[in-house]
Amino acid sequence: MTYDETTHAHLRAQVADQALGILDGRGRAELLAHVEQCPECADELESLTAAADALVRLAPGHEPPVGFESRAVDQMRAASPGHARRRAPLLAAVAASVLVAFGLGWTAHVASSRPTTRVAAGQVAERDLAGSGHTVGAAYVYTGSPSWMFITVSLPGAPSAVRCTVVTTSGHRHVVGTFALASGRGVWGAPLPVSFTSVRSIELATANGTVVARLANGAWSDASGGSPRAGAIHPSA
Amino acid sequence: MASSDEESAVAFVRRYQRRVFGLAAGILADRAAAEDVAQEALLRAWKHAPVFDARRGSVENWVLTITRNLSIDALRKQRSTPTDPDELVALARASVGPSTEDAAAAHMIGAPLIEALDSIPPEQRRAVLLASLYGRTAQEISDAEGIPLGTAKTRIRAGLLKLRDTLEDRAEELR
Repeated sequence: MTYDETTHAHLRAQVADQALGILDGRGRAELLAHVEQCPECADELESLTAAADALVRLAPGHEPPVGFESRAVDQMRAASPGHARRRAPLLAAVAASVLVAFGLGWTAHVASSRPTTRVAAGQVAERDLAGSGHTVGAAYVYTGSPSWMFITVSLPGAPSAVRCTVVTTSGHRHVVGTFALASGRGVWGAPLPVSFTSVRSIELATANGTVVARLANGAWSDASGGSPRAGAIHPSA
Repeated sequence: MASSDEESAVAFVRRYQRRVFGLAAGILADRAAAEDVAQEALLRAWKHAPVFDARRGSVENWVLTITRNLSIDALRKQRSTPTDPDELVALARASVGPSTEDAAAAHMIGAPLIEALDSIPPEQRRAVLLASLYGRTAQEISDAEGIPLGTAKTRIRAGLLKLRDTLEDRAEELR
């Protein structure tokens, strides 16, 4: 042993604090250095940590709010590496261009190293656009006043333009405009014709009325009344 | 996200969401804050699943430990009033019964844990829970409970030692 009994006794009294995660940094460093040399304290730390860890099982399970599952999975999808790589450059460019085009004084900061756009007020909510059972793009809505939306979409085989329609919770349909696609790809922004809370769906359709993409996972205003969850772009605090 | 990954993500959330949300809500006493914490805990566990070491315990304990840590962070940031630890124990005690949905898990894990906690003097149990689930230091417990710092330290240590010994005795009996 390379420590004296006084040190051992002093540090032994700290083992419970370490097991419970409340020892400060300096104390933790001293104790862990001691534990490396003292099998007795190492065993004590291991057994007390196991007891402390068991306490996380104390609280009974509880049903989370409606929509929790889909929001959790949405977050996982947004955090997947392929998702971030696919959307980051496009999203940053679109967000910046929309902000500049509207000239409403919002400040935008597009970080080159992260797939993140910061907006001065309000929130930006994201939902996938689905077509033929697949994710074909994304819709982003700025929830401040006035609200705006922007769309990124990739529809191989689609015609050279699609009509974008916002469908409200009361069933009214508002045509936002017709937007060009290049090789099936398109990016555009436009003022939202209704409050974002009344948006039930956003649809993209060809000239003959065939819907080729629509909002996945329902509207932003879910049944729990929860606020929209920002996806790949986040509002500043 | 590939469809197989999406199915795995859904299965992962469905498996742990009740326990994760239950722990966050049990600590924070604020459903909105608990939802944020639970969402973040599941996301972090999902992202870091490739580095999970099964030798260090169950996945559920790992996910719940992440939840506990995030709940403590939320308490520190928001300075909201959490659930009183005595109420949390009472809630857990009430949930351990044959009629609960978690009956099997409760009898395997919850009941022995509650019995072990009940074997600890109330003031020691409270100190251990304040430290473990709420991240309170001995000094903070001393201030909050109006007791000398030395007494707070003694309660934390004696309570955790007793909890450890009782849980180990119970595990030995079941072998």
